[in-house]
Amino acid sequence: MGRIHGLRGRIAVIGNPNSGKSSLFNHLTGLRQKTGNFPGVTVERRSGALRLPDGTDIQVVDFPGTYSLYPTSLDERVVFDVLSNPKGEDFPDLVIYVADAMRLDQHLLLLSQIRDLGIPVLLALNLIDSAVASGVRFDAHALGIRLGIPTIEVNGRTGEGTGLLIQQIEHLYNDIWTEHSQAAPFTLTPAMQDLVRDIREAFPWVTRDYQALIIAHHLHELTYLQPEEVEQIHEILQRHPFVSLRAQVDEIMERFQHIDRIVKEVRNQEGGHRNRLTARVDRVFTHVVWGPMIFVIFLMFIFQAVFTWSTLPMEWIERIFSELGGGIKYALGEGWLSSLLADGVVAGLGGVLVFIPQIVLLFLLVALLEESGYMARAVYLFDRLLRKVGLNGRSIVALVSGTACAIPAVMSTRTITNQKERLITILVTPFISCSARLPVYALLIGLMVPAGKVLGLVSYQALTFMGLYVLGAAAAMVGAWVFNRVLKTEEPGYLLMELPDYQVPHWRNVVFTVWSKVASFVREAGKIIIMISIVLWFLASFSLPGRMALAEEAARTEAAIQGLDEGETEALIASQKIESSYAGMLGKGLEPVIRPLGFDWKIGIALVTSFAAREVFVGTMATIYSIGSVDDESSIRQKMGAELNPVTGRKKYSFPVALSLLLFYVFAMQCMSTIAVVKKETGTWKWPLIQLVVMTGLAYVVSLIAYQGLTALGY
Amino acid sequence: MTTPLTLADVQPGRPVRITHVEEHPSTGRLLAMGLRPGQRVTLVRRTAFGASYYIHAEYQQFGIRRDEAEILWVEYTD
Repeated sequence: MGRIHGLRGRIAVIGNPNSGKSSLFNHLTGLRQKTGNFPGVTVERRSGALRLPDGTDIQVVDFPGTYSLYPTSLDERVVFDVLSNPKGEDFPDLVIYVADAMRLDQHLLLLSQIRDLGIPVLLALNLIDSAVASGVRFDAHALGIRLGIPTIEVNGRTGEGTGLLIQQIEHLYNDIWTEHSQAAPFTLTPAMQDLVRDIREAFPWVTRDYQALIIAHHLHELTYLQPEEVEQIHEILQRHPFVSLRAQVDEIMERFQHIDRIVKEVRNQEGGHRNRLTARVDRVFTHVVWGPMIFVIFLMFIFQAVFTWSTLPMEWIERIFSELGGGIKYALGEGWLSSLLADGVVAGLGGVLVFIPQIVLLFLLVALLEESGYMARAVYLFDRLLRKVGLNGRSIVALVSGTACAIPAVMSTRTITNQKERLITILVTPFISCSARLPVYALLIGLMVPAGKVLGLVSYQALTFMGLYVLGAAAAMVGAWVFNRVLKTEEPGYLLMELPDYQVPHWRNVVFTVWSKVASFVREAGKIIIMISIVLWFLASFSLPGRMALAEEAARTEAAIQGLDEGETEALIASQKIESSYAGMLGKGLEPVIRPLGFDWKIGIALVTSFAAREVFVGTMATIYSIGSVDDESSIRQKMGAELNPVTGRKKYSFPVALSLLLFYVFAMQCMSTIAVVKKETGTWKWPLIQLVVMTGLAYVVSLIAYQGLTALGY
Repeated sequence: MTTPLTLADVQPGRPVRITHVEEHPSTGRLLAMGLRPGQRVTLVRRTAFGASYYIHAEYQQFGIRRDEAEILWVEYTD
């Protein structure tokens, strides 16, 4: 079988946003997909294997949707970066170009640009049902001949036509590929011809005029050029009259003239009709008053669903892992190895997997909104409001998701194409009070706020709860405003976006989206979370030689004197052990720093351990106050509430201490999982560390002011 | 005789034709998305305070900001 020499077995799927590109990609590759990043940038790269009928595997890469080779967002830059570099790893043998038949003229622009780069193209003309229903007909065969490239009709939703597409791909790989010549859609001006000739002479690997032109346009954005190459091309550009923006506009207009002629020939009807259902639904959904209200209702539903529907599976996961830990201890007996496996590895793994029900639910609901076309409306509605503080319409998704859990929320920011707006969204999302803060709030509010009701209606405690959520949201807004002042960007902000016709979400796309996000969370964030869990386990289980044994001895003696039963003795031992562990030493070492906030070393230990996850605070307090059962929240509250301050003789968890601690938990970045996911999403440790310093610093200052202020006032 | 106006100034519901697109960092994107001279568009509605515009053009809808609408010069077709 004759293979074209030098083929790498790599295909790119490219098209405009909303062209049905990702659906087709899913049909081609099935479940055998991998997600990662394009080299050098944090742009998601989905790839999968396509098995040809002759048994060869071809790698298919899904590129971000883009309208032309002159994009405005960082994500879309990947397309020209990869396609203008034949030496690059991702450079394809073939581009499968997906175009929506209904918007053929618009979608042929990028196609004509890619053709000029000299890469073989296969046009997949996506004829969705609505196109057929609206009575518009296309002559795909004639289109293929006019364009000079093989053209296959496909249906992205059903996968119809995928077989023919694969046949054509096989033709390319078996050397029976024919392309017809076509009239040039775009000709270079004499001045540009001189320019590209100079570039091609200096760089022999630039084999096409249009490739040279693309390099000239995007000189400072290309990731593969060496600094000296950039300098050299820059010098060439200096010698020629070349205004990038003007040239882009002229080029696009010229291409469209050519495209319009072709489209007129192959389409039987002029367009102009709106999708009636979309128009009717949007009359309400994008209404100046009803629109925002409907959005809030959707959000409340999502929040409620993520919050309540995930409770049961989360409990199962927790139980499975605690059983597993118990089983390991039983099988291996007591010892550091069984403790490492049970309390470190298994507990850490459980700590990762326990988030999965929330992540799955949230992404499922968000994917449904996205796939149905609704999300674009929310962005349209809230763009202005959020832009004022440096966010983006799409940030609203992350901010609301954050009330459940910051981890899926941070991951959902991938839909924000402006990198600065996305970064700010990631930075402020953890300010939103998540579900893990709830147990901490519950414990401390119980200590601090009396049980009465305002006017016999709303309880003081519920009001305090609400106040804490509002405080978190306010911190997110102010934080965004500040980051917006500090961070610089060259990327122009824009809204300009399609509001696609509403459609019934396709289960395949929804399942793939949810699956790939959950898998990448477990893989990437999971590694870091387990590592930190093991470190925390080590700190809580070990101490300087002999100290632990001494503490246990002392606890046994104490228990014998007081005549405690077996359970109480075990609890006392655990309490004494954690006090003498490295974590306990850290807590005590921390005491001078946190004393101005009204915290003692016991809270210090809990601050250290609850870095694993905020709710661990309650469990640690239970251990320190030697309560056998972690679930018994009311008895912890009683013990903490009854404790007296040895110096003042007053209650230790006084109003100022409890409030200070509450405020600390509202603002502080007390969550290693979030740090892990921010590191993963931003691709550097810089941002999670800045976040940690800013949030925890703010928490410290606010708690300090609250505690010192209240104490000075005599509370 | 029509007075020159931009898409930001037109009455909702009245169809217009794009006559010219001003040069601006977003121009390329507007053109590539099909908002180009000759294209017929209709302003459908605005969000509160006229911040964002919901427009309809041949088979599709767009959301655009006020400053993006301001670079699209149009004329009424009815």
